Amino acid sequence: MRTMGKKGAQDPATDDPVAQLDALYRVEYAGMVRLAYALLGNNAEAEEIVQDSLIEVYRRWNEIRKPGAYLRCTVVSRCRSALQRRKMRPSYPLEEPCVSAAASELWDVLTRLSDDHRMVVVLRYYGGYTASDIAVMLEMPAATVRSHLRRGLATLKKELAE
Amino acid sequence: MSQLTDRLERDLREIAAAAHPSASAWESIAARLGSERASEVTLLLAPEPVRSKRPLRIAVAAAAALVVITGSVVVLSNRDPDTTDNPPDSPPPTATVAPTIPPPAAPFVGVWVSTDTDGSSQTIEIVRSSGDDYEFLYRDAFASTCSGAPATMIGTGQLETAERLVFAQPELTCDDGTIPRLGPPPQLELADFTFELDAAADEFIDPFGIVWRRAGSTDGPTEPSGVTVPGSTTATSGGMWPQSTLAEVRAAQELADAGDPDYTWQLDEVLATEPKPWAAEIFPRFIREELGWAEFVSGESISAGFTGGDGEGSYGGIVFIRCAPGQTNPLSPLFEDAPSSIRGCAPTIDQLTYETVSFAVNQPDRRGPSGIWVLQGWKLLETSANPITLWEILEPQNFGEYQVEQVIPPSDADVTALLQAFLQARVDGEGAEQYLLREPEQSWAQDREVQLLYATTSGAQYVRSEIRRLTGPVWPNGSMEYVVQLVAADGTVVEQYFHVVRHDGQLRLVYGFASVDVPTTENGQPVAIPYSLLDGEVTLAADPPWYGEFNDPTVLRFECQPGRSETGTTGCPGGRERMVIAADPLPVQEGCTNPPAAGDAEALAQSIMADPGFETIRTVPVRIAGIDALQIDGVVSSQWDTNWALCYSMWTTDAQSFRIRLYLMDHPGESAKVITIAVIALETQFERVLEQTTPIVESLEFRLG
Repeated sequence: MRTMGKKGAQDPATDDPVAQLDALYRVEYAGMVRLAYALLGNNAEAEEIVQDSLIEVYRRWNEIRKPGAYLRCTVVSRCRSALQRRKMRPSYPLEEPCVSAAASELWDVLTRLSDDHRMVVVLRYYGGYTASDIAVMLEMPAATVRSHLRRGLATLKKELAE
Repeated sequence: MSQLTDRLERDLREIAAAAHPSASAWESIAARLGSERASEVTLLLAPEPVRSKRPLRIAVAAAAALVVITGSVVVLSNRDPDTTDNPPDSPPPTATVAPTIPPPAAPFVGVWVSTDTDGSSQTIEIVRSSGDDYEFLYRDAFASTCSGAPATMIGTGQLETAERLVFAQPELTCDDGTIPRLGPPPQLELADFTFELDAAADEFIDPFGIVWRRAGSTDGPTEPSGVTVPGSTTATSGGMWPQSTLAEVRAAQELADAGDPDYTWQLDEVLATEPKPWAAEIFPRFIREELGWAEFVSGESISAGFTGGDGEGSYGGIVFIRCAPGQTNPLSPLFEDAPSSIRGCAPTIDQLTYETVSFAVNQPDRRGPSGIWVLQGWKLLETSANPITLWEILEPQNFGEYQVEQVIPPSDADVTALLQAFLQARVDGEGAEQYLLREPEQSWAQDREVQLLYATTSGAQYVRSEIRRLTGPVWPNGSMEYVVQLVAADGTVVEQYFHVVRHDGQLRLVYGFASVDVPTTENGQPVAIPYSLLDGEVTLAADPPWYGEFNDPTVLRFECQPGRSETGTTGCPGGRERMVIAADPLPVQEGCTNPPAAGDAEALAQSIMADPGFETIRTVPVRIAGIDALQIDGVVSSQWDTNWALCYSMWTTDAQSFRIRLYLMDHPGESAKVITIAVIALETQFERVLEQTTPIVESLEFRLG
C-alpha cells in the first residue's frame, strides 16, 4: 500500500511530479470526492472540482509543501465558489443521495441551511476539522466559523426535532 | 447536543458514501496533465512568471475603474478627505476638472458614508454623467464578501424618480483580486441596485437597509468604541496594508527583490519560519503608524491563539492589546503569576477592558521566504458575547474574538467557601451538582461527569476533605485550579482537579480540564470509567485519559484526551489513535445499498479481508472475555471508510496509512450477532496504543440474563 504524507515523505523512487500526483490521487481522490459530494450534493460536480483541484496542485507543485493540505483547501474553496455560482446560474442539479431515511432527512435540512452554515457543519462533522482548520480553509475568522457552527447546529436541532 | 452531533457524524458519512468516485478519473486528469506539460514549454519561453493572470486582470481592472471614476468626481465640493480609502502614501488624486461636473441640485450626487453591518466604514461617491444617468463608486475597507479585503463596486444607473436611483447591474470586485463570495461579476444578486433617498434627512437607504449620510455631516456614522487618542485612527477595521491592491503588492515585491530597504522589511523571517507570528515587524509598524498606539502587548504574552501558520503563507487571528502609557495594570497585585508585560499593561477602556486588535497577514503574491507579507485586514474587536463552550470560559483570550477583559479574581475566602460547600455536599451525599458549571446549552462539547461524586469505588462514603490551590489566579479571567482530596471512612483517598471560575457573576467549579492527564485518582491510581453496550449485555471500563463516547447506541469510540498542562508529559501517544467497539458493524458496502449485517464473525472477517482498502498482515485466534475471537492485524488507508463503523472518524486528509488490530467475536446474547473491537493508530504509535488499550479489551465482559 502506497502512502503519502508531507512532500518530504514521498516515495523517493521518483521525482516525477506526475507520478507523485498519481500517488496523491490514489490516496486522496475518493475521499475528496466524498467530501465535495457532501458539500455540493452532485457527484459529477464533485468529481470535476476534485479533478480541477488536482490539476491546480500539479501547477503549484514546486510552491507547496503539503500537497494533501493544499488539495484539501483547494477542493473546499472551489466547492464554496461552486455554491456561490449555483445561486446565479444553476448548472448541476442537487441529487437525492441514496441513503437511509434518517440520513435523507438530515440531507433535506442541510440543503436548506445557508452555504456557510452547511459548509462549516459538514467540514466539522464529516471532515472532522477543528474551527481553526475550517477558518483557514474558508478564509474566515475562527470566531465566524464558530458562529456559523452554532447557528447551523441550532437550526438543525430545531428542524430535526420537528 | 451530543445526540445531534453523533447523528451528524453518522448520517454525513452515509451521505458522503453515496458519492461514487469514478475509477477512471486518473485517465482524464492525466490527459489534462499532458496538455499542461505541453503548455509549460511555452510558458518557460515567456518572460512572465508561471501564474494565473486572471486575478491580476480583475485587480487591474478594478484599479483602473477606481482611477477613472475617482478622477471624475474628485472636484465634488463636500468630499471629506478623512473618508477616502487611499493608502496614506499614495499621491492625492489629480485635481483636474472632470468633464461631467454635476449641478449641485442633483439629489444623490456627492460622497456618502456609512458603517457596514460588520462594523467597517464604507463610502459611496455618486456622480451624474448626463441627464438622468448616474455613476457610483463604492469602497468598503473591510469587506466580508472578500474575506476582509477591501472591495470596490461600480455601476451606472438612472434616476427613476427624484428619490429613487436604480443601477441595473453593478459589479463588485475584491481589491486583492480574489473572487467575492457573491461570485465574479456580473452578480445577479446586485441587479437593480436601488438607493431610496430621504431628502428631508439628506440620507438614503441601500438595498441592504444601510443608511448612508453625507460625508462631513454632523450626523455621521457611529464612531468606533474605545479610547480615541489624538493622532490615532478613528476606523475600526481596514484592509490590506501597507500595499492596498495586488498590483501594488507585486510592484513592492519587485522592489524588495531588488533590495529596496523600504520593502525588504516585508520579507519577514519570523512569519516565514517561526511558529509564533507575533514578533513579525509588520505588526508594531502598523500599530504605531496607523493605530497610534504607543504601548501594546502581543498575543504571545496573553496566551492567545491564532490560525494558519503552516507555512502556506497566511496567519489569522493575531491579537494585540493596547496599554495605557506610563501606567501599570491596577490588578497586577492580584495576578502575581502573570507575565511582567501584562502586569505592566494598564487597560485603556476601563480598569478591566483592553482595546484589542486582530490581524490577518498573508503573502498574496509569492509564498515562501522570498515573498513579502502584507496585512490582509485588521479589526478592533468588540466587547465579549456569551461564550459557547466551557473551554472558551476557561481560556477566553485564546479565541481572539473579543476585547480582552481581565476579571477580578475571587478572594481566598470566597473560593474556600465554594469548595467547602461542594465538598460538604459530597460528604452529605447530595446537592453537589449545583456548584458545577456545565457546558452551555449551545456547546458541542460533551460534559464530563465528576467521578466518585458521593462515594468511592467500593461505596465508602467520604468523611473529610482538604483543598490545595495548584495554579492561579490566571490572567485574564482569574481562574484557579485546585486539587481536592476526599478521605472515605475506609481510608480510601480520592484526589480530583477542579477549576474555579467566575461566570455570570457567580463562582462555579469546572471539572474536566485538569492540567494532568488523569483528573481523578483513588489511592493514587486512575479511576476507570465504566461503559456498557446493548443494554448492559456488554460492559467494559477504561482508565483516563482514554474516554469513550457513543456514536450511536451500538458504536462506542475511545480516544486518548490528554490534560492541559503544557509542561507535563502527556500519556497520549499522538492524538490520532482510537479504539472502537461496535456491535454488528456493516460489512463492506456495495453500490447504493446497505447490505445486512454479517451473519457471524467469520463472515465479517472474510468481508473485511476481501476489501481492497484493507491489507491483512496476520490473523490469530484468541479468547476475549472467555469467548473465541479472531484477531486480525492489518493496514488501512486513511480513506478506508467501508466498514466505517470500525474506524469511526479515522478519515483524515493527510493521506497516511494506519495500523489496525481487529478483534471479531460472535456475541453470545440476543441483541447482536457480532462484536468487534478495532484499535487504530499511526504505525509509529501503534505498539504504544496497543499497550494502553489492552486493559480496556481485557475489561470486556458479557453479562447475559
